[in-house]
Amino acid sequence: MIDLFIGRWPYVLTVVLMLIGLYGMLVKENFLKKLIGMNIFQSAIILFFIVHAFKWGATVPVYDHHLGDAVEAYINPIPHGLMLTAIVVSVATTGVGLALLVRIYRAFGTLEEPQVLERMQSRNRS
Amino acid sequence: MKQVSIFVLILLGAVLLAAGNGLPLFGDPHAPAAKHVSDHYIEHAYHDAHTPNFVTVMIADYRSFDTLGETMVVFAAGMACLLLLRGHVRRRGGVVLPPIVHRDDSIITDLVTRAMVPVIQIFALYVVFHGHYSPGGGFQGGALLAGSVLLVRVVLGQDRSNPIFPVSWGTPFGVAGLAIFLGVGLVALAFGGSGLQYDHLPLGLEPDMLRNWGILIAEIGVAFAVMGTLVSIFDDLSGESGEVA
Repeated sequence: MIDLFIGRWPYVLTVVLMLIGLYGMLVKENFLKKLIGMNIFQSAIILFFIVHAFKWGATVPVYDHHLGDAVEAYINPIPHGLMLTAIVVSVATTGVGLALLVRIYRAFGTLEEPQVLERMQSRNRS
Repeated sequence: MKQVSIFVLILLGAVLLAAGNGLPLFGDPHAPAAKHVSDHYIEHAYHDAHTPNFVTVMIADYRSFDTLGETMVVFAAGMACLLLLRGHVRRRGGVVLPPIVHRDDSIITDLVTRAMVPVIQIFALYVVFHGHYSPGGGFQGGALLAGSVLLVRVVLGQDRSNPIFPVSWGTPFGVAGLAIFLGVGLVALAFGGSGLQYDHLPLGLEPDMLRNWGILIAEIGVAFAVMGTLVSIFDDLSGESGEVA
């Protein structure tokens, strides 16, 4: 267990961040807060990938003539490339989420989950 | 219900932490993720594409199909916002939201914005075009360009921001960017390569310089697509496009 906190402490931080996001998605009743929770969750996943890119003693993945082709002199470029696209995609999907929230608000006049469910039921009965 | 959720969360956290013990050590240069493909990219990227930034070569050349797909996802998200929101208010009744963007009569914010926007845009272009040599590229530059337009939208208001970047331009910019990216891939395909294989572009250069140029064109396309899509998402959300549609 102690190994986890000495050699792998960034994983612990990403797990904590992910649980915070999941807590927001599960427990909060406001849809906007759920969306923010989803964003925190995404950040945790992105950080998890970035943590994997890191190498001790390595520099940024930009070619340097002094370092040449030495593999261990550069950090891993793959997670960086994947995550930079993932960040922009997460911004766009957040936009879709916000658009859905605008539609829900226009239809029901609220973003609180219990009230939305209540109004949906009263509409179905009438 | 809340107690159940928290119990599930604690359980999940325990499972993930226990599984974390099996992951490679933080910063281990011999971790599986840092081997094989990663080594290949680091050793070959500069010689293949004459571009020092491995990340740029990776996303725009080695994995350009992936990037094309990501750009399409961003564009599809923009289209989803458009279909969900544009022109919806007038057709059906319901709660009409107040407009998000107000014209604010503060001369300080006006002047600061007008001074900052050109600087942001020049920096964005630098990020796009210098992405070969330093951290940067189409996604980051496109996001910065979109940010400059959104700053104008928020501070100067609808009436004065519309001549600078009309609401109706967002989606065409996205389409143009996607077309540039797809176009460079199709040109490579037409001249005997496979799709997005830049060293078959008909520019009369050495293969590594051709890939360098192909990456640049693809990044410009990505920048346009991201900028147009983000601006159009903002316009849909703020309800500015409701009157236009």
